[in-house]
Formats: sequence, structure tokens, C-alpha cells
Amino acid sequence: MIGYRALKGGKLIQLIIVLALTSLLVAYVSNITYSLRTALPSVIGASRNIYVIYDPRSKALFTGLIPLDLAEAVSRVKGVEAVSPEVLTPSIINGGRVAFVRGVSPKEFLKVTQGVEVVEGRWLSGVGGELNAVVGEGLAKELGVGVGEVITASSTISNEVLALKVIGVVRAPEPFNNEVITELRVGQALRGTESSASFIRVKVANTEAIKELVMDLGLAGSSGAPEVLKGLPTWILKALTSGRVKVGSGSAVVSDYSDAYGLTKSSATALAVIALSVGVATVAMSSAAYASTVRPMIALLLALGASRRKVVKELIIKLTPLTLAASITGYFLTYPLSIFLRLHILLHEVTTSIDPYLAVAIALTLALTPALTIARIVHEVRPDETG
Amino acid sequence: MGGTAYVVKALIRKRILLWVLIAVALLTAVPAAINSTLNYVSLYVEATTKVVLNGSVTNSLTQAESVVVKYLIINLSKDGLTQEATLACPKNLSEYINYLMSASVRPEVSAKESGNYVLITQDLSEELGLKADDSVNLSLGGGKELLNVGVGGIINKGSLIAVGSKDLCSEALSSSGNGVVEARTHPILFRRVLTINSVLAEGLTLLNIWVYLSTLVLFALSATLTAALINEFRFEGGVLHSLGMGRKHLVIGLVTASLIISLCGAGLGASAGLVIAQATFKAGYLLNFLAGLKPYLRYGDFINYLVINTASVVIASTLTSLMILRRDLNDRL
Repeated sequence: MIGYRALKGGKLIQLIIVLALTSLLVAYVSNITYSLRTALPSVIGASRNIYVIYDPRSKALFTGLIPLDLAEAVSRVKGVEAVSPEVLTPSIINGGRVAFVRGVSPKEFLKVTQGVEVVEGRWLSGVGGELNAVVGEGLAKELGVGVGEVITASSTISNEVLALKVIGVVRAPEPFNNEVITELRVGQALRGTESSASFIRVKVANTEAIKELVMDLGLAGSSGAPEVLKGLPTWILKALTSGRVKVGSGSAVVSDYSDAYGLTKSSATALAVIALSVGVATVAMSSAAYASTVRPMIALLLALGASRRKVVKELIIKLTPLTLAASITGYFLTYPLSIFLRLHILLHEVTTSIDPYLAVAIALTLALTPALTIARIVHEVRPDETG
Repeated sequence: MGGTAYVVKALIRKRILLWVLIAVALLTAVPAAINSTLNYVSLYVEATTKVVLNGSVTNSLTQAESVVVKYLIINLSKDGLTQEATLACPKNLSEYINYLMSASVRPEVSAKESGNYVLITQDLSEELGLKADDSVNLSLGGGKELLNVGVGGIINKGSLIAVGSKDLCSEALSSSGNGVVEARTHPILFRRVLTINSVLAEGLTLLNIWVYLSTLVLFALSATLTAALINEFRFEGGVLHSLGMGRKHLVIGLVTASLIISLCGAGLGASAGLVIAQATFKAGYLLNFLAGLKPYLRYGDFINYLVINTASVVIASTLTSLMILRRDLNDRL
């Protein structure tokens, strides 16, 4: 009944552009909020099969301390494939840029971290008492440093300032691409500790293994303590049973730290809902403006005897595929946008993570807004308004 | 002039310009509220730091800002044991020592300015079995230069640092070449403030992108609404045109109306965002969740919101009205 030519192509394109841009804006806000919330597990390097042993009572992840001896005991638990104790210290590099310095046991680190590729120089050896470091490619480019150069790292947790020799540049997934990685001992010196790590990353074979690990650690202080934990100092066993040490996935870390600072799932959703409401209002205004230009055409159809219901149905059938495509396109433009702008959260590049339910809700709501607004206006049009 | 004023008055009564006002206000209010909140966090960090500044470390903070130190990588060896360490060469040793002492790191003995001496940390002394007045071999640049230096004192804290005397540092720096890095030592609190400010700066960058995206949306929306406004104004505009009013007056009238409305909308939105943030934080303070500080907007940011959003609306309405009214004015109006 209604051809696309009758839908005022130029005005329709304007509506589609507004819709796509609004979708991009709402998606940007919701994805950034979502990424802010999940930034901590990204900073640690927690993922689907990488769990973290950490101190849940610390205010920030990098201020907590975990006994280092625990790493060896945990590596003996059935189903645990690799264990990487790490010390994370926010530091000022070369007196200017703030970045995390991660002290690691080089071999263990590579066992739990995938995709680390040395692009220049060499990887840490793990032997000797040298002050060596490798720098993530992103950070190296930003600082303009290369192999053989010396960088200073001023700790924000201790008074230590260390000069570190850059022996390699690595290309790695976030968070490692924007960090300085050094030997565990050097990381500990910067953090101001001798026998502890900030956290221990554990790679497990399956979910059964992590259940066993949690159970073993929970039984640490009891008479039925598993064999693997026997021989640990009493204070470590006490720490395990008193809640000073916790094993958790990325989501557990989020609830222990992000939620404590008000970045709860509810507050993230609330911000997304506010952005969506503003977006819906914007699209509704644009749709109403568009509807005013096709008003004479609607009035003509009504004057010719078409029912309002049929006109609404026709308009929805014609417009919805276009608005849905615009909404989805706008939503997914956040990916190239964040890559192009190299956005940072918690000193690391944003890895855009999308909540699928929120994505569907936003795309559908925005796509259906024009149809609903125009449907409302169709019911207001009188057949004598033919212009 | 009178004709333009009439057009402006007639346009401002149109419902579509109320939509423009609402759109500008909404798209400004949310970023303004978040901007105020980020400023609150910055203020909070500053305020809590000042509490410490008024305490015992005030002097060290002021002094440390002027402390410039050069760092070298060295090897210390004694009786077959070798340990790599950072050699700190301060421009002024006593200032540096004063800074370390104020930051609760106390050398056991006073620093000696002349002669080849190092102050070493407790860790280094334990690692190499050294005590005050012992001598140790210090090598630079891959072990090429070897110096025999005295241990001037042991620093209680820190782990892999040796602080060089003036003579030792000038000798070490002259032979080390490019390996030297010059840096400013920041006391730990200052470093923490720098870190938090870096994270806040990231937040501001994210917010600015939000603002620019909002501006784009506003631009596209204004173009659509201006087209609808001209469509709605066609009868009055047609009458005015037949009475002799030219395209120029109509365009100026449209642009002036857009300017007034968008300025009002941006001002209203930025103020509303600020008030909402302040009210939220006031409630938090009354409920003892938050410190008694107010979120605020810098004048620069406020002006920025006004200028960016107003410019976006005005440019969009100018371009759209010029495009629509460019040809066949009689047909359009």
C-alpha cells in the first residue's frame, strides 16, 4: 500500500542517522559502564579458566598480600595446571606516566597467560639478580622506549624508586600490553614486601578442579587438612581459614572490589537506563518530526478509506527493518570507536565487553521507538489534513 | 529587523523548539552530572591529601618536589657475592636524605658528602653481608668500571637502592654515558595523588567522548527538527514572504530562535546536572556515606557545554534552513 518513495526518503535518512548516532551514544555509555565494572578482573588477568587467590579484605586489589608459600602448595592440588604468583604495583614510570608494574615468575606467568609474543629483545630469564623488565607494546610506544634503555619506576605503595633495564618489548592481550613486567623479586622490592604476592593466578583444568581447590583451602586449618597443604606455616593456615585468603573467579573479584566502590551491577544498569531514556526521548522527537512530514500522506490514505490499523501495520513493516538495522549498526560502532580512540580504564586499554541482554534491550527499544511514535501520530491524523 | 524579531517570536511559540530545548537539556545534564561527580572525587583526593600535608610530612613534600635524582644500574660485589641495584645520585644529598628521613626512612649514620661512599639499604646489606664502614666493589655499565667504595650507612627501609655520595656520583655519571635517567623523586603521597589523577583523567577522557557523541546526536536531531519546524511554519512563512520578507530574514529568524533555545537548553541542562549531582551527594552525606564536599562544575566546563551544544544546534539549523529555503522559496513556504 505504501511505497518507499512515499516515505520521504531524505527525511527518513535523517531519522535513520539520528537513530544510529543515538544507538552509538547509548551503547558507548552502557559498554563503558560495563567495562568499568569488569575492569578489575581484566587488570588481574582473570578469565574463564583462570581463577585468582587474593586477599578480599584489602581496599584495592594491589594493596592485598598473599603468602608466597601458598603458590607451591596450590600447584600440587589435583586439576591445577599452573600457578602464577604476581605482585602488582601502580608506579610512576619515568616521572610521568602512571602504569602497573607486574612482578612475575617468568615461566609460570607464561603458563597461565596466552598470546604473549616477544616482538623485540627477549623474555625475562628468571635467574640472576638483575633489574630487568619487559614492556608491553602499547606502553612502550607511548613512552617511546625500546630494548636497552633504562626506565625508572617510582612505587606508589612504598618509597622505592627502581631503575629497570628494558630487555624486551612484548605484544600481549590486555592488561599486559600496557604494563611493565619484571621479575617477581623486583616487583616485591617495588611493592615493599619480601615473602608475599599481591595475588596468585591459578589455571585450572575444569570447574571440578576449582571446587577441589576451594574445598582444600577451606579445610586448611582443620584436622582433615589435605595432604598438599600440610607443611605450610601455621600463620598461612590461619589466614586461609580466617577469610584473609579467598579463591574466586573474575566475578568474585568484581563483587569484592568494584561493588565496594559503588560500581554495582545496579548502578551500572541505572546509568545505562538513564542513557537509554535520553536516547528514546531523542529518537521519539526525531520520529515525531519525521511523522509530521508524512502526515499529509497518512491523511490521504485515511481519506481514501484505509483503516488506521492497516496504515500503522504498513508503516511498521516498512520502517522497522530500517530502524533495526540502524540501531544495530550504531550499537556495534562502539567497537571501532574504542579501538580508534585507544580508550583507557584503570591504566589499561579498554577491551570492549558487551552484556548481550543489555545489547538486545537497547537495540530493540531504540528500533521500535520510531514505529511506536508514528503509530501514535497516525491515530491523531484526521482524513481532512491532506495538506 | 522588525520582521526578523516577528519570525523569532512566532518560531519560539512552536512546540518543536520546545523539543529542541528538552533535547539539549537532557543531552547536557547527564554528562554535566558525571563531570561534577568526577570533580568531587578529585576534590576529595586533594582534601584528604591536605590532611596529611598539615601533618608531619609537609616539609618533605615541599622539599621533595625540588629533589632531582639521577639513577644508574650498578652491581655491588663483596667476597664473591654480586647483587644488582639502583644507584641513586641526588643533586643535593642532604636534601635527599632529609626527604628520606621525613618519609620515615632513617639512615643509621649521617651521610658523607665527599669521598666514594654509598648508603645502602638493609636488604642490600643483608644480601652482601655488609655493615657501616665496610668497603664494597661497585661496577657500572656491564661490569666495565670497578670502584672500591665505602659503606657510609645503612638505610632502614627500601630494598635494592644505594645512595651515592657526591664524588662517587660525579665519577659514576661521567663514565656511564647514556644509561643515566634523570627523574624527580616524588614522595609516596604525591605519587598516589598523581596515580589517582591519572585514573580520573581517563574518566574525563571517556566523558569528553560522551559529550562529543552527544553533540553529534544533537546536530543530527536539530537538522531533523529544523526541517519539521520549517514545514510547520510554511503557512505563516508564506504569508510573510508574500508581504515582502526575504529568505535572509527567515533564515536569520530561524537561527536566532535556535540560538536562544539552545543556549537556554544547555544552561538549564548543565545547571540541572550539577544540582542533581549535588543533591545526590548531599543525601549521601546526610546518610553518612560520603564526605561533606560538594560536586562542582568548573567555569570552563560549564562554558564548554554551553558553546559546544549551542554551536551544534545553530550550525545544524543554519545549514538545514539554507538547504531547504535555497530554491523555490514560494513552493516551500
